[in-house]
Amino acid sequence: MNLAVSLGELELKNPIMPASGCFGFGKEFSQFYDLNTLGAIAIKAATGEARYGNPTPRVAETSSGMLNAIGLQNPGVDGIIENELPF
Amino acid sequence: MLKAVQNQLTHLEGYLSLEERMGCGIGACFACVCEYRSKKGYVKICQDGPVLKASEVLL
Repeated sequence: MNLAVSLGELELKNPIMPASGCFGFGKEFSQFYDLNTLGAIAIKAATGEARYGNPTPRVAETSSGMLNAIGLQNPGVDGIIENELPF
Repeated sequence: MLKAVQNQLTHLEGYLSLEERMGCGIGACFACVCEYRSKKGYVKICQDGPVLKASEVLL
């Protein structure tokens, strides 16, 4: 079955893409399944400078879901290119 | 209370077992962080902990 889709200029082999923010940079979930089965991955938000993010608590439970405000914690674009992208 | 225990451990090596609201529990979402002195940043309680050095964590 051919699930290939195009997304702008990208050609994805299938339309399955985990949500950014829930996926880190991929390493943690790779222990559960082969990430190559996905069409694409969306890494955590990347900002020019590294950001610490918000103080904790960062998540709160609601009656029908949850709220989260991580605050865009990330090691900055350069840190991501150097440490996370190789994986 | 953890802070009180931490203050008692100034000359001893100790560890604290921490808890924090979590999102994913596996280290992908950055929800459960705690400040860590030597890292000058955050560690994740789900992945790097939950037991962490008392002298390092900033509560």
